[in-house]
Amino acid sequence: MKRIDNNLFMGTIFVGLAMVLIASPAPAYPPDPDNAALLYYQGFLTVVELDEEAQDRIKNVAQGETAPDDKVREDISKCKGAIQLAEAASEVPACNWGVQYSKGFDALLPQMAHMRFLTYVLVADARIHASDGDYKGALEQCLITGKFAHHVGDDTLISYLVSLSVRALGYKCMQDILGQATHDEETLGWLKNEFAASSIYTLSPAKPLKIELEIVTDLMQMDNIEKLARILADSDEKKMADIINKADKKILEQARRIYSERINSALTVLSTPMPYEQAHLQLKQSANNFDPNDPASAAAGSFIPALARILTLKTRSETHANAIKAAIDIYLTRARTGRLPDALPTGLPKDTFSGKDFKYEKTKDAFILRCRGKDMDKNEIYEYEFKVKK
Amino acid sequence: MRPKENIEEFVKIRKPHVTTSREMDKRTLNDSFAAMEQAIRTKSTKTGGLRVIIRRRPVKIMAAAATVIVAVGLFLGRGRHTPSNPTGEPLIVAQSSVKKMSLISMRMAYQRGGFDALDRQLRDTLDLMRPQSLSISMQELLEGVNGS
Repeated sequence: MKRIDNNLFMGTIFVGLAMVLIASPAPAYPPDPDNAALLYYQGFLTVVELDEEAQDRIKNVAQGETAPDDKVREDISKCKGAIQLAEAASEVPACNWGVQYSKGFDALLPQMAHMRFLTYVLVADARIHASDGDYKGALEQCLITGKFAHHVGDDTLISYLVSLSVRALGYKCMQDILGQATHDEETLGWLKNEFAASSIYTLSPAKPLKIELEIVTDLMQMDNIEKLARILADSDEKKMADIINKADKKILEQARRIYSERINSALTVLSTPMPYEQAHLQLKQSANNFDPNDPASAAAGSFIPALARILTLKTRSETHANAIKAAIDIYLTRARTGRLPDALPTGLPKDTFSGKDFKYEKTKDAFILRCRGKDMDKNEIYEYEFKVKK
Repeated sequence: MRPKENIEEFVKIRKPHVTTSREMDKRTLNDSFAAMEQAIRTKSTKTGGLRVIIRRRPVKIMAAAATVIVAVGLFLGRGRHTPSNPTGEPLIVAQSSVKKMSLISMRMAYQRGGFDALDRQLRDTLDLMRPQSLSISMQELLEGVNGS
């Protein structure tokens, strides 16, 4: 009986061990990075052999100013490693660039310049795919720029602006390629779903403004007067000495108060649903009317960004995205019925400058979606032209 | 400026302009070790621990630290007594490119000239800081390994 028990015990142990070994095979290699930034950084390191001329060629193709030629194809072939790494990074949800925020305004952001160039590479590659007839591949690449823009982030105002520019370049490319893929209902349907899914990645200028509020109010302290003076005087030694001599606790306290009031008022405007025009007006007031003869007011004013312009760039980005969404629906109608609709279908995304439907105009090439509200900074009305491949 | 920043600023600004010699390095190191020894001796004879010493002799400690930092800086700079480029141009380029990469520099570029100015600055940064890793051959990469 005892022997049977022993055998049973040993057998159970053996089976248990075997199950553990089968169920949890330990991989021989470490896992891939769970931080997208690590993959992007590797990508940045692989686009090193391009001279200024090659960079310009890539930029011009990405912006749609020139068609891809053999030279640019060769340039892009040298960036394949970076493209693959960016593709892999776009699948990783988390992205931490490792910025030393504790250094405040002295934090270095060397990655920003590389981000800008990687975007050109990705979009130029998309345009090469399109010129080779691979429209789906081209659109996939454009969608990657959307994920990349989200990864660029909005921790600093600069990140937010670079992110908007990455997005804008991707949208422009998508706008141009869409017209070439109009006969393919399946691709258009796929793009509609993918683009809608990627639109959940929205960034906001509110976050960087809150972070700047913290950095600037920390900077406006007597302990940091040298650093503050260096920034305000733009490293002019004489001006710097003058600021240090004149600064005192009271002035800095006033400067902090003025700065905080203006930024908080801007944050309220940004978080309150209101028409673009109204928000623009209020933000303009927050960013203007600083007294150059009052040191506290002048110091606060030096750190207030062009808030109204930032709102315009945000609105423009959202409007461009909406124009593409609307255009996909219009192209889908064409793919189903064989002709473009005579009027704008109802329920399409709107022009966020006016909050109204785009003006739809059929042209000999295809159609134009025109905004009803204007960019209040440039006094310009944007229109998005879409063409159909003949 | 706070003492710590004084030291950092001193090392950052002055180090490249100092012409050193073996004698000077040795003298500086001796002075710094002497200062450190004195600080240690003070610590062992006084009661109340490090906090008390720091409170009572901040200038001495900071001076010793400054001397050590400068000495290490000079020591590391040995063998480069004559600058490889007398004009100092690479240094200026390096400093300006690092400056251009800072958040405040980009932020002020945007403040002054909008997105176009920021874009120009990013381009300049890329031109100045372009890494050269792909141009390094495997032989160069492994130079120094196994005496090769």
